[in-house]
Amino acid sequence: MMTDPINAYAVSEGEAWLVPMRTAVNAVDTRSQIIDEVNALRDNSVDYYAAVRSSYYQNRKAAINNVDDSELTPLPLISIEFE
Amino acid sequence: MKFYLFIFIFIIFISKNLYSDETSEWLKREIDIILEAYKNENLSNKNRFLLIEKTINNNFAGTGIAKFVAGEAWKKSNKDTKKIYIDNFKRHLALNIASMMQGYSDQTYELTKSKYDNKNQVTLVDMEIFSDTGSVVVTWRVKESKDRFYVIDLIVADISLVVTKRSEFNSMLKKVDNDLSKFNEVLFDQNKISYQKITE
Repeated sequence: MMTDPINAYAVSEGEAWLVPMRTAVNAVDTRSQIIDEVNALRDNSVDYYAAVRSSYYQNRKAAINNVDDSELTPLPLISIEFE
Repeated sequence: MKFYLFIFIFIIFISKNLYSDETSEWLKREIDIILEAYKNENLSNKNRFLLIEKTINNNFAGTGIAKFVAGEAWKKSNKDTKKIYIDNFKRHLALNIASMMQGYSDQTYELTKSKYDNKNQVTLVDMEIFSDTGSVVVTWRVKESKDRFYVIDLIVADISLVVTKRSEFNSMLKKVDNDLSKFNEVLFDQNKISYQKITE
């Protein structure tokens, strides 16, 4: 958070109040962008907490592995012989 | 000899690309059916969902996904319980996809990339959805069986729908001692709530 150049500049200028303000605004902005997905997940989950936890882990794992191509996301073992 | 080898590789490359294009065309047709259903104001909410559910059930590998997300509980269950579970799961899947697609119904989209994954024999189709604030990429995983295509997974922001469902179901199945018949009751109740929300 403090490595952000705008935050670092704000702190050096004695305007540290800008840091939590920017964090809060960014959080609201991010949430507004995914509000439909979050609502869809909440309305259709048998266990909302487990769904959020799994989504978070998958997203973090992809970020740590620097995955930018969905091909690298492990493929579920789904058989289609019974369809 | 080198020339023939080059021709052979070229034919293989072209045929894989044609296959990917065929998958994209099929997927676009099916996505458009769902999005058109949302735009059609003459349809009642119930009929709209029934049309979408039919399209999803025709195109998703519902039984295979149901089996995968049930994990260990699948093996322990009898035939009748499995049948009820598959029906419940297919409705649950339709409600999830319908709910997600509802948010995209007033936005434009483009199928931007299609690639055949030789190792897993799966085609990956990227769908970019544009909105006023930016765009989001949804990746469809499509498999072919008996001259038909089936969607086996959806990935949004590196999050697989099927993997998330498996975690969610496993967590809930643990609470009912991996008893699929008890879980069927939970799933049925959840479907009822979701159905009311999407058709109200």
